[in-house]
Amino acid sequence: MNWKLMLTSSVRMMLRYKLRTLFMSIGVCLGVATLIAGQALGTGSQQQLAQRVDQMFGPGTILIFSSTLNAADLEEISSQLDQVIAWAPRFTAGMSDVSYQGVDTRATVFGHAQQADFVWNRGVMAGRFFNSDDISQAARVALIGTRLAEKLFTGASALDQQILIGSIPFRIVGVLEPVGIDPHGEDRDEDVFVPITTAMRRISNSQYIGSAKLVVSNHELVDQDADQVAGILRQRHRIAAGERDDFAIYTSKFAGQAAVSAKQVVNTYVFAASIVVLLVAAAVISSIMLVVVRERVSEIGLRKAIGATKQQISLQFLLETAAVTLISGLIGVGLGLLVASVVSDYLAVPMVVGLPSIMLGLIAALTVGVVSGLLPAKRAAGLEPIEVLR
Amino acid sequence: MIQLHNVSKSFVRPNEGRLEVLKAVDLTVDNGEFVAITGPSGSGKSTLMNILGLLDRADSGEYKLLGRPVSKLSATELAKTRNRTIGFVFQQFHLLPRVTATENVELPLLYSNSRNTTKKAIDALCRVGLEERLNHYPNELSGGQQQRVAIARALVNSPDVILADEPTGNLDQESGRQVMELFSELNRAGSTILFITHDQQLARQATRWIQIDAGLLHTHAPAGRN
Ligand SMILES: Nc1ncnc2c1ncn2[C@@H]1O[C@H](COP(=O)(O)OP(=O)(O)OP(=O)(O)O)[C@@H](O)[C@H]1O
Ligand SMILES: [Mg+2]
Repeated sequence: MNWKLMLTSSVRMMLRYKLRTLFMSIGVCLGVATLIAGQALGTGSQQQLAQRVDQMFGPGTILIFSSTLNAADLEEISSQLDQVIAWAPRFTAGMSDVSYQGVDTRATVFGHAQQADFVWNRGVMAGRFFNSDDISQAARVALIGTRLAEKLFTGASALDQQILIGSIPFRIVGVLEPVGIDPHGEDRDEDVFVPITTAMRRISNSQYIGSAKLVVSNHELVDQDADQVAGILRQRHRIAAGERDDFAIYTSKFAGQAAVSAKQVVNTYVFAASIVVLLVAAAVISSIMLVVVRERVSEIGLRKAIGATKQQISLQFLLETAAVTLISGLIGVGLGLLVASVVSDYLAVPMVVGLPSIMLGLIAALTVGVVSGLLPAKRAAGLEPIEVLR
Repeated sequence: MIQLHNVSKSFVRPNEGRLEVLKAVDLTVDNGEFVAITGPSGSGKSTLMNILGLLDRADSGEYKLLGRPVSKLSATELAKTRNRTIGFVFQQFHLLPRVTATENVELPLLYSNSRNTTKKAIDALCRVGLEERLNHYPNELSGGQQQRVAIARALVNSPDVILADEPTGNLDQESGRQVMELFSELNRAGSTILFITHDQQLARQATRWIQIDAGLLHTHAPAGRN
């Protein structure tokens, strides 16, 4: 058999029946495009999320939340556990009015210690971070996020300006590096930081810290370290065996897993959606091809009369559908990438294109072609020339 | 070339019982013969042609093509034999509508291991006098031209025999005459040709004239050219 001629004649047939080919290709195009765009954006947003989680948490970190956490607890933990290489408390003073010369807004106020720039991964891009004097004197100095600075000062320098937090005047000593939206959707560039001592004594009058972050030396062991931290806290908070913790502990590993499972949810959804579209496409193609076979009975009869075997007739129809779906798959890949890049620009989500997902898309397209071509091909091959060549 | 011995064929039709179309017929056709087959409508001409062309099987009797009994051939072998040994010409031409004359003629080569298929197709079209119409689509050709494309398609694989079932049945007189002239020419150049016709005039141009009647074959008094 003449393979080259067989293939070119399949492609020619496809081009001659343009409208039919168009209808056959739409579904496959969309299915593959869904798959490609979904994977590209899903993977991209997962990586972005993972990056943000990493930025928020940092590798090898333990977060403690407890309404009864105090400085002594933290000192005890760091003295008992050698693997804790750094730690910093954080006091959340909550939402407060913030104003500068008549510009009023609201912002979340946090109390931080001088090592927070490293431990909480929030350095300054202008000015300076807190120093030990700020902390020991409970100084009325503040650091503000970039978006808050924009709101209050609209472009002018924020440094050394006097703002009011509630009714207390603070001097701005630094502007925080931007970090963007956190995994909860809150804009962390609108925050205000003040020395933790200032926040606890002057703003909230609290003796408890509320939360803290520990950095451990080996981030593979962070979950075991967290168990030890829990043990120390239970002992210090006098929690009897069987009673519930009065604190919550999260590790960077836990957060990373959350990001991964978010990706899996997205991927499963995208995968299911494109499978459905491709199944519908297969059904459409199959029924179109059955009509095509019926329309072309005399052509098929003629081909058999002049020497085509059953297998060659089957092959012809399989090649015709497979050629259509494979080319549609290629177009679908292009379309998917286009959609992904538009959406990626629009939502500011990065897109990550993997070769495996492109291969998967093309294989899926080809499979749709072969599967949907099977029944029509079988029907065509079964036709007898004398029945149809009257 | 073709040897039929005791070949019978009947059709069972609902309510009408068994219809014996061919009753133990014998027929031998030698290389280079030009045979006309005539007979009343429904007499079994096409049935005979279909058996000769390996499109249908006889109920009983023996058919040897090129000395080989065909009854034992599988469907695939039958297809291959049709491809290499037989060229068909039909009353309705049966050209593929969406492909050019050349591509139509190329078609039988698709199913054989041929090389230079386009050149062979063009050569065949030249033999039937259509060198000017190579890239025309069937609907751009007259009936006579379409039938000549079909004849080129029958020729392209250099078959041992050409079977034509009422090749002029859909043509006006002039085109029919041209087609017959082409057949005569091909026959003079060595092709073995069997054709069915209702036209006594055309049947006379053959070297042998067979009539079918009541399921039997009769040789008409020899007629012909020179
Ligand atoms: N598949 C079939 N099933 C039942 N009857 C058939 C079948 N094929 C042919 N016949 C009958 O067999 C008889 C011979 O048919 P055939 O087609 O060979 O006639 P024909 O000589 O070619 O006639 P025409 O000149 O009209 O083409 C007819 O009566 C026809 O109805
Ligand atoms: Mg007939």
